[in-house]
Amino acid sequence: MTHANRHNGIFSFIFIPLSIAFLLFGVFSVVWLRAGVRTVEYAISTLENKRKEALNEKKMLMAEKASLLSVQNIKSTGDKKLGLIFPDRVKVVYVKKKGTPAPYRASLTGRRLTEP
Amino acid sequence: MRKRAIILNTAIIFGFVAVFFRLTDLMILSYGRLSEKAKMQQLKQEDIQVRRGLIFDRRGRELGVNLELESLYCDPDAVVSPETAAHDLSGIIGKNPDVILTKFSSARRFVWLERKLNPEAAEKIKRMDIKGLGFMPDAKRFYPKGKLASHIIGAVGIDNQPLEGIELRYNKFLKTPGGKILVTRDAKGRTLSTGVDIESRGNNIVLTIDEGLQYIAEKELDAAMARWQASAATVIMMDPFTGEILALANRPSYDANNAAYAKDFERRNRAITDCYEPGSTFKIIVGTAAIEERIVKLSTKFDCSKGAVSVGNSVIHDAHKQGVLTFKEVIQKSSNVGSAMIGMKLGKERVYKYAKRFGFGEKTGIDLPGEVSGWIRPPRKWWSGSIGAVSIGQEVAVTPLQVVRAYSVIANGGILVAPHVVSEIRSPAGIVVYSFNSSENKAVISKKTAEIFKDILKTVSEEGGTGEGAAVEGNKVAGKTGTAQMIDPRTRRYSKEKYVSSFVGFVPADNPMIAMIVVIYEPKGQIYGGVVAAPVFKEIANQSLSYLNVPREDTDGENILVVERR
Repeated sequence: MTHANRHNGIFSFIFIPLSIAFLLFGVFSVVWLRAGVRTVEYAISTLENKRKEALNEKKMLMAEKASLLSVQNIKSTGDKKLGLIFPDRVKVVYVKKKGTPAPYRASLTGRRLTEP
Repeated sequence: MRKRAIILNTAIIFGFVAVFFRLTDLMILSYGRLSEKAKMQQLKQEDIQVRRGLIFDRRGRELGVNLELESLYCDPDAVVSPETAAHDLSGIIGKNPDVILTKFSSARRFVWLERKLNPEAAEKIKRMDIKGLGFMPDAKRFYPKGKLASHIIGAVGIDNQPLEGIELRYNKFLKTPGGKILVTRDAKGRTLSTGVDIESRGNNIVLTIDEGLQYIAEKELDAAMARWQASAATVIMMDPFTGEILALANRPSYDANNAAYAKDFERRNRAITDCYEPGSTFKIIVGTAAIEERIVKLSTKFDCSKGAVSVGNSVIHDAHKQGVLTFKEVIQKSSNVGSAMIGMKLGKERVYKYAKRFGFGEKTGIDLPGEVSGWIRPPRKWWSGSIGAVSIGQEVAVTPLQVVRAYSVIANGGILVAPHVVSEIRSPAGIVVYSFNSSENKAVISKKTAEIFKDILKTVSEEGGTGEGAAVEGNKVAGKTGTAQMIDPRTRRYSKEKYVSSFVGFVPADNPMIAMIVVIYEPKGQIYGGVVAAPVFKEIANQSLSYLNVPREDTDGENILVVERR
């Protein structure tokens, strides 16, 4: 009996506190993990908002770029500000690398779209 | 001591039991009700932001894009001081304070105050922090090139609903269905990451038009309108081998960014919606039919010396007496008398057959809304003089697009091509979802006939031809002038003041890069196609060939500057 009591004493002394510690640790881990996930979600959300703002800004800049690079605008700038003139066709010869001159193929193949 | 321990233990046990029962209530008994309540507090339904696909020209230059703006709304009940708010807002959004006050007095809980505010105005209003106002993201369609190609691209309304052009015709590709998405938010209303994109984008469209060519066409069209005080004008530039429309412009025109203010006559895409009597440009029918049917040889002579010929009950006149002309000269000098004689040789059935073969009286099938078919009556409904009238381009109604397509047949060796403005459609990820297929092209005349008629058309822009004004230095032009009287709507007879002047052709004649038609409606001072429209053709062709890097054919060994084409 004395032997059995000693065993019970060890169990109470080691395993019960250890179990409680594990339980508390487990609960704490879950809470900590969930809090961590929530923090990351906030961070992602903030970054997503920033990304969205940046994309919106990009769209505005893209539109502005398209306006500024219009043929009409370039010609107007070339004519009025830079004093450029259209070359006389008689003074220009086009050395063909391959094929015959043709309008560009109507395709975006090989071109990266400006859209995000 | 023991008694106190028992009391403490009992209290603790009761405490735990109470907690246990409460948890049982929260987690099991009231679970359904409480979880619903929590969802309502934590989850928020948001609209997926729908964005139309973009529109590009053939070189990938943006013609239609989206701007991310904000729209201002109010909850009239929540506005504390409507008068002050209306006064403050009016200075920023440019609306009368009374109009804003009317909106504040609405019985509804959601009223738009101003759609699609510019970012600066939105920022100012946000800084004012007026209670009861709110902002919603709203996309605005923006056409960065303004007026350019507005008749092709079209426009959208305030809710981005399609109104005209490509925007309307290809709406099913450009738009995207949208929908709702649930986002989680906290007690402060901050949303948490959903992990998915709440923007849905439509497919992108690549047009066949080229911004550079379109600009050249529109610039010269403006100049022609001013020069001739015309009521309207149209230019179409097409690749004669593929049917790709390289440029299409009309005047009057409108800025697609302000489509709401455009008038109906400005919105009309005359290139495909307006019919006119083609006049001499229609002589392509009797000319090619006569060659194809072996009715004439190039040297066959026609006596046009009287300057008139009787056809049934009517008399066909030439503008000037021409003498005896060969078949080639009849076309070169655009003799009405000679053409009527050729038409009579062919007979009405064959003239009608060839007109239909060239696609007259039927829609070309271009992928733009509003195209009309024009008309040509069947031979059984012709009167005795119709054979003469139809041979010189009267009693038929055509669109400019039909005419340039017919001349493309000569340019490409006898094939009737399918005109189109959309080359391909790509998903936002870049996958091709639609590509134009030109399998419907069909041969309508023999290659030999096309070659013979091409040689005749070349003489039109040479010395002695009616279209000398269209000649481009360094490259041969093949084409035909047209001058036609318009019908006066008051008298319902041919007007003596209102004419349609046109020139249609292709260049370089022996290796055609572009087929083009120029139509000027009601020019003042001059009426002849060779005087009014041909110089416009020349200017556009000259600049376009330069833009396309097409070398001159007459400069070997005389060049100063060498430019390598990359």
